[in-house]
Amino acid sequence: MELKELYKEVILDHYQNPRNYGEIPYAYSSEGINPLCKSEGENPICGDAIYIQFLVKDNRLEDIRFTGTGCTISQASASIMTELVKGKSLEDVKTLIIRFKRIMEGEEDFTEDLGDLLAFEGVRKLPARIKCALLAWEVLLEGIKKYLERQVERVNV
Amino acid sequence: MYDVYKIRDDFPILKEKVNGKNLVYLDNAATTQKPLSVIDAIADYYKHYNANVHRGVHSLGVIATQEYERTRKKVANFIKAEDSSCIVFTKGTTESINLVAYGWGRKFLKEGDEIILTVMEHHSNIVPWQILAREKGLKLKFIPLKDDGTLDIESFYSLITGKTKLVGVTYVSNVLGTVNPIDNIVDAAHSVGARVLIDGAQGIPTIPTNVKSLNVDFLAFSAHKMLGPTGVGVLYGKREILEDMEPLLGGGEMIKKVSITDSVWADVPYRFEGGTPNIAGVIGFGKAIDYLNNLGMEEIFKYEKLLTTYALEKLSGIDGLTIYGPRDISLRSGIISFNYRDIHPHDVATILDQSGIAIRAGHHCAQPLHSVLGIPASCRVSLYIYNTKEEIDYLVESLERIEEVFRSGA
Repeated sequence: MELKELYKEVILDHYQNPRNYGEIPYAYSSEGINPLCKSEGENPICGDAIYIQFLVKDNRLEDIRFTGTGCTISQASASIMTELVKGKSLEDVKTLIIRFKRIMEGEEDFTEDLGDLLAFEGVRKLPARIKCALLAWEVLLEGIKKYLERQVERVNV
Repeated sequence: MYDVYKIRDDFPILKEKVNGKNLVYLDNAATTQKPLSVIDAIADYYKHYNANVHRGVHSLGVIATQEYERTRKKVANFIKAEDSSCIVFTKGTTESINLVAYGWGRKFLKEGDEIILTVMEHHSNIVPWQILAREKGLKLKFIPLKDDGTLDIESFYSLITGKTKLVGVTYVSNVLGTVNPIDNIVDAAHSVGARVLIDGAQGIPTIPTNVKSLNVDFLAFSAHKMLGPTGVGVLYGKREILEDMEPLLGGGEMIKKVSITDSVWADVPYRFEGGTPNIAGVIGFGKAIDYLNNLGMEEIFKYEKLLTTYALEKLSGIDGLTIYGPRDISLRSGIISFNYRDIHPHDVATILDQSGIAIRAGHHCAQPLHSVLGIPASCRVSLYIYNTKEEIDYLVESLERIEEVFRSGA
């Protein structure tokens, strides 16, 4: 495989200029009704780490930010993900995450509508790096699951 | 005369292509490659005399047992142990250390006792002690590093007290390459009656070692980091200490007598080898030791110093490359960890892999050490008997090309 197939311009751009990088300002999330959600995860093999904060309003991802340390693939993937999910309904986000996971694990194919995610076609050919690409997505999925569980608890109370 | 090109001919894998390029294998601290004699010995066992050991009256069982036990003698001679009964076969260094933790530590350590380790230990010489410490209320203390990546021995002298029951130290750091001063550590530990456990996984493969003159109580190491197969490790223990230890695995082979109410343990070392062992692996390990002995450990040691000196010099010349660990060649082995500019080690390893070069990237199972160094991960090059100066030149050229990938936006 050619290296430029792996390190596509889109990936290098997102790595060097990460979008939605940082934390959501506290004041913005202080309304009790829209608590700030946090989720974090690490790849224990290599020490890559991703921290995600997001804000849900009317069942949509109103805002999402991330910080982290790690390789080009893990950090670019996080940046691309935040751009793609911002503003989407939680259901749509979950569907996209599950679809991207299936694609990277070779169970589905890339389709043209995936936009910047098409840049990960090269990564999929390197089994050792698929985990890097999926880290942020796993972390967000975990965060959304936790958020939804809390919603259920709140309704039941 | 040390002829590296002749040595390379004995390793079939070194003729493989990786991503269309000649394999340049620089991940020897993870596992080394195997010479044909080791591979053949394993196949020969399965082809010609496959049988279980220590049981059979039949001929194959006798031959298999002889060959298995022959390796035990070879290991004892290799590290100059007093007797082959001091050599316990395990599945690797990790199991060997766990055997000390549970077979010895669980029996003899009590609440308030202290264990001294170092911040440069591999997880396998930290986690078993954390588990035991939780169980028994022990205290773990860690020897810090000096700026040059060597152990701060002065701090060690102040950490050690009458409560210290064990000092566990790695022979050679699997990240920094630092060779630790085992003799100083043993003297200080023994002066307060503490036992000493050496994690020899990275040291035994390259440093000629005499356990009797080092006077260590336990030494753990793995076959697969010294040309042998995976799934075989060694615990050396002083005979009188092993005699008092409890087994880790109860089952077949490790008993003298079993009734439904009680059992009597077998003698040392069989007491610690419950279940059918990795017979083929142990026999293959015997051939690995033969191979190293034929080259001569003193010669191997000298060649590694030569190659490491060359690699350090070449790598130091690369702009933006930070090397961790001692620069003084007498204090280090052929394990060289580094970071290159702000390029993540994963990316470095992937890009080098496209040139056929195998290196390790990550925290190398030494997260506490990486925290001390203040880095999340590093790249690691580790050299062994068959590596060449040409391979190091190729590594350096490939490293210098990495930046192009990022600069040009690929």
